[in-house]
Amino acid sequence: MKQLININVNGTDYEAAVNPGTTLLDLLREDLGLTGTKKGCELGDCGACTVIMNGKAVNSCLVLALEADGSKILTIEGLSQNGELHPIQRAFVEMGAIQCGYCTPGMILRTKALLDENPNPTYDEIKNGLSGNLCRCTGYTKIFEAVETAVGYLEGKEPEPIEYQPQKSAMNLSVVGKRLPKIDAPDKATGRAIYTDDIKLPNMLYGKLLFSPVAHAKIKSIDTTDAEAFPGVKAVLTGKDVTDITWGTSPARYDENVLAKDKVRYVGDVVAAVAAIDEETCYKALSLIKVDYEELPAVFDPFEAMKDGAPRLFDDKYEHNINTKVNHHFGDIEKGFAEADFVKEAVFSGNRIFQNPMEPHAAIAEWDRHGRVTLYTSTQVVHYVHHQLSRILDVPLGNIRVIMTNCGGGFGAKAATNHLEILSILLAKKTGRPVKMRYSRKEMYLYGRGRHKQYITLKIGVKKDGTITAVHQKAIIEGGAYSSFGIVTTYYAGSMLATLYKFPNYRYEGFRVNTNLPPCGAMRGHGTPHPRFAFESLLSMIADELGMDHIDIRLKNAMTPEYHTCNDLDIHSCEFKACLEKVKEKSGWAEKKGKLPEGRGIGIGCGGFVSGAGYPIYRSKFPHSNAIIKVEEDGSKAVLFVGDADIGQGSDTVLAQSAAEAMGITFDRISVVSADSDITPIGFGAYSSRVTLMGGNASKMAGEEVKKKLLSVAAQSLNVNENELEAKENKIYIIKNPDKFINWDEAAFTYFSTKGPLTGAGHYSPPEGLGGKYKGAAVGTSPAYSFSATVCEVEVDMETGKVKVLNFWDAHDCGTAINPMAVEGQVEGAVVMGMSEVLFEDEVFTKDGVMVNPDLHNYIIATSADVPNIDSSIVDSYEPEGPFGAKEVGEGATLPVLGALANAIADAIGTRIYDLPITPQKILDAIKKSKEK
Amino acid sequence: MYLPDFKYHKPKTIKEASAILLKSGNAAPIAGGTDLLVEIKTGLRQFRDIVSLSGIAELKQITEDDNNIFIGSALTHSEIIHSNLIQEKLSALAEAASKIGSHQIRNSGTIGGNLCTGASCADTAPILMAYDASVELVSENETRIINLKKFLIHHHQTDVRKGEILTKIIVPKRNCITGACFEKFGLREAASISVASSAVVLSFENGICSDAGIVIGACGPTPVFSNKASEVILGKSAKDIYGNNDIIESAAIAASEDSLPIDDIRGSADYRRELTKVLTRRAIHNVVKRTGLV
Repeated sequence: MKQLININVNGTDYEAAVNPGTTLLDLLREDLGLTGTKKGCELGDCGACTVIMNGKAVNSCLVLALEADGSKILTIEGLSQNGELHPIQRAFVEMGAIQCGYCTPGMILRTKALLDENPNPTYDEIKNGLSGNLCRCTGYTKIFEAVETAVGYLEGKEPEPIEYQPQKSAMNLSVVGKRLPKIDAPDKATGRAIYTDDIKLPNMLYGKLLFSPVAHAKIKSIDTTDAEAFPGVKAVLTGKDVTDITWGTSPARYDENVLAKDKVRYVGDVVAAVAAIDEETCYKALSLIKVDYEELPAVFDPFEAMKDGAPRLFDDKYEHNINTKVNHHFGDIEKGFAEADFVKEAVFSGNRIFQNPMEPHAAIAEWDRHGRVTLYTSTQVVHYVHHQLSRILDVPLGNIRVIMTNCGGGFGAKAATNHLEILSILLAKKTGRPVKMRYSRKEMYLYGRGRHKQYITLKIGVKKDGTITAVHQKAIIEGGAYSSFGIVTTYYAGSMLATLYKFPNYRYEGFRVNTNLPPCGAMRGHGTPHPRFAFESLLSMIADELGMDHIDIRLKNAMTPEYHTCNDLDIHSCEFKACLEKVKEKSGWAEKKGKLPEGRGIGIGCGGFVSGAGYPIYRSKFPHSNAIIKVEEDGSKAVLFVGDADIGQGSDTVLAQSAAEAMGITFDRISVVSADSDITPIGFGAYSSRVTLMGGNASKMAGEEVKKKLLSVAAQSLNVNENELEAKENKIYIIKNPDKFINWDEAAFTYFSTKGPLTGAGHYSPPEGLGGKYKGAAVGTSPAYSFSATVCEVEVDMETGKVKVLNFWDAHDCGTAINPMAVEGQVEGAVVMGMSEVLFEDEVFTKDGVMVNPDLHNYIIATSADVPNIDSSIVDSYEPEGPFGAKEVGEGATLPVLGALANAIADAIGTRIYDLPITPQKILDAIKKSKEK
Repeated sequence: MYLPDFKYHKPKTIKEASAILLKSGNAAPIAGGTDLLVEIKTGLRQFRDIVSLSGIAELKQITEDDNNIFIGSALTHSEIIHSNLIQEKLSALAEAASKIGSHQIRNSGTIGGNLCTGASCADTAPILMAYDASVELVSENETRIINLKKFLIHHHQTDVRKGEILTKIIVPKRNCITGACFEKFGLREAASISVASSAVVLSFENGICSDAGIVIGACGPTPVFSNKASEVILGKSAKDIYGNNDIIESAAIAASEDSLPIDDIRGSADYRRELTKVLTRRAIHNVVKRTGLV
């Protein structure tokens, strides 16, 4: 029964009737419509729901609304006064402390409480003070800087300008290369940014899924009678109600049903869907669905799964449960190993990681009366979802509109169509009402699609001087129950090893094996981090045995520009050696390596990644990225329409910078509309680190078209030839006589008045014919490759095995950094995510395949208190294929981290751990073992 | 994820609260809710009646008399940390409380809740046991005081009887030089669950250890009071303990031998035994140093 409470929120008194089970979080979001307070884990682990209650920061998900009776609450909506950003909000915006924005309201309010208590905190007090607010994007570093800046603002000080030496390639640019705050940051700082779960449509229902409780079973029968009869339930769907069309991610392996048809293959496989008046009713109805399972033997270990007689997940395909098999041989490895003076082999294994974006997946579907459906979703790939839905639902593209709302992080978890997107549409169709579906944190883990766990046997042969002569890699890749991105993963695990160091002879054998566990997919660095961890570890081991410096052996073999790799990938710009030199210098490598006391260690790791896949999984001839610019009739603003998705990485900002630079306007004259299939032209979305290069090229091209049109108008009024003009900073001027100009908006006004709408269109496709001719040659191709090197310094407690990461020095070749502050944000985020993977993260299952740690309490990720000092450098580089010389940073920045940290730990403890995560227990065991020897 | 229906009560007195708890077939008191609501949301527990303790002012008090310090059960961890009395007289309790959960959790979660949840990895229990604390349990008709060692029966099992509310924690004062320390090992720097912990309280009369409480956390169904470790330290002088690694090492090994750890995702039993040794050694070392006797 509802009870009345009186509560003051942001200075306004409310009288509200609430159910006993209503949390303060739900009261704020659902009853008061204050959706700036975010729902991240619902169990008090993530801090996204932080509000200030009677002066104290609390997790509103763990406060009963009734317990807040009589309280004073401050939410993010109440922080800014009179339309002005609060000094903390301002600092977060300006310092680049906001990426996806989902943790931001909680983080800002926690900062407020911290500074109220302690107006002048030390750096360590800030680090520890924010440790109840998890952030997966930023690596916290810019957040600390923002808090320090906010302290100054609150004292009335203005910040000292950041000294930043622009790259050579950005010297003459006026928008590109600038450290600009993200275009969406003010909305995210004030709680105004709308995420899918913040939307409430009239008459909306809620949907939930029934997950298999068993790892492998035949479904003998499903009885939904009681669930359908349960008050408030509006629809129940099971396998028999849905299409037989299978779906997935890689076209060659569409092996998932919308709902399980005859079989379930893991604990979490989706068996039924319910729509009801609220989530609680859904859950109650789900518990009334009776499924009769005939349990089958299950297999969870890929080596077991490959054996003769092992239980098969699919009877009709994937013999020995081998879902993908790759056998590549380039050059002649026998000859290569024969030429080597020294050959070393070692076995490594990775861990099963989940991306854990702070925002849980969510989708809302609504059909109109003309047979058209609109889907709001938190996705990285609007147009791929659009395409998949059309295929699965057998509805023309034109009858589906997919709108990406703000997206609270992805890292690959949202890079494909998910069950919520499909089933919200089906439930909405059946009920005739809008349906919202969201995953809880636990359900996110069950949906899975995290990093594949790889078991790698790696062998490298070198000459005495360290020159690599041959590489042999064998990877057994545990894939979970379905294919997802797995084919691509398997190829990437092999192909990307060859882009960083030169070696002529290479064999790669990859086996992706199905198991009765949640499906693995694409996560930041897709397929590459574990092989890269193995390679960087083994290379350092070899250097030790050769008596060579770890950086020297890398310099010896380092990739150089314009190189054709043994597996037919074409490297163009490459400043890898500059990255190595930079981190060597900055870290004080020469003074530290080999000279640190026991328990202290330093290590190097390197990496690199594609700047977008050369060939898309969305099989089509469409250009990969497309852009349209429409200029207001008075020329006061240009609006950029792009299909690519800003999932927090800042692509809206970066693409706007590219377009503005191309048009010759300042950044305040552009706004962006992105990722809405009705409004924006197709863009393949945010995966494979493709948006800066591909979306950037399309945006730049659209901008150039606008500029060309304006130059023709300006040429007439200035009475010169077009080629004598240039547009920059809102002026169109005569190059030889810049004092003679007309204003950009004036030219645009004239254009519109005489010729109609002023628009530009741009598109980008990678060069044709990338890659070799062998099977799988497409995976690893790209217009351009990034390069990076990282030095890590650690301190290990030799008695407990605990690692304290002290420093990371990173240098990245991302070509021209369109927005250096955003590049640093990517690097810092990648460093902390990579560090978290190495030290903390692992999905653990019972012997029956039930996940033991599907939450943020037992599956731990790095907090702000764990963050080391991160020094991030961008080297001078120019990529001819990229917009203004730019290439990727998002995923490549993850790759050096794993090896660098593993090498630093090895250096500190004098022995090596070969399997991730590197836990204190493993470290202590290794120390003991090495001392016994 | 949702909170199933229940009836919410907000009594003003302990007696009133007890009466509701007694009458209901299935009730739980709620203080901070940081454990209870998680357990309800994840389906581990379900209740017909939830009795809020937030309206009972006396549960929020910290007082002292000549012999004891009385800590109200509904004080949050943050309130404990910031209490001058606690900082001055039970600093290791503040130390332990500051290592619980996150700042937000410490602002809601209470010391009484931490004890009543009875998790084997609770961080306030070991240090309170080392301080030889007792708890006061009050029902409509009875008040009883029992030692914390007896109160904690097993993982998630305490000696709270039907209708009883844990009202205060009673920590005996010591009239001699006393040092205390709580050492915790978690897998990350903040917001972590104890893999193992060691709480040590040592009292010295004329420079000789006259009372030793050495308690291991997260390594057994309840925190383990190590009699063996105490015996090693008792009767030794502060100087001897501090200057003699063998004594500390023997005590640490004894504590480790008394612990009853299990394997779980945070660490193996063997690893925990190893941690226990290290943490106890460090804690004893710190304690003696903190007494100012060395």
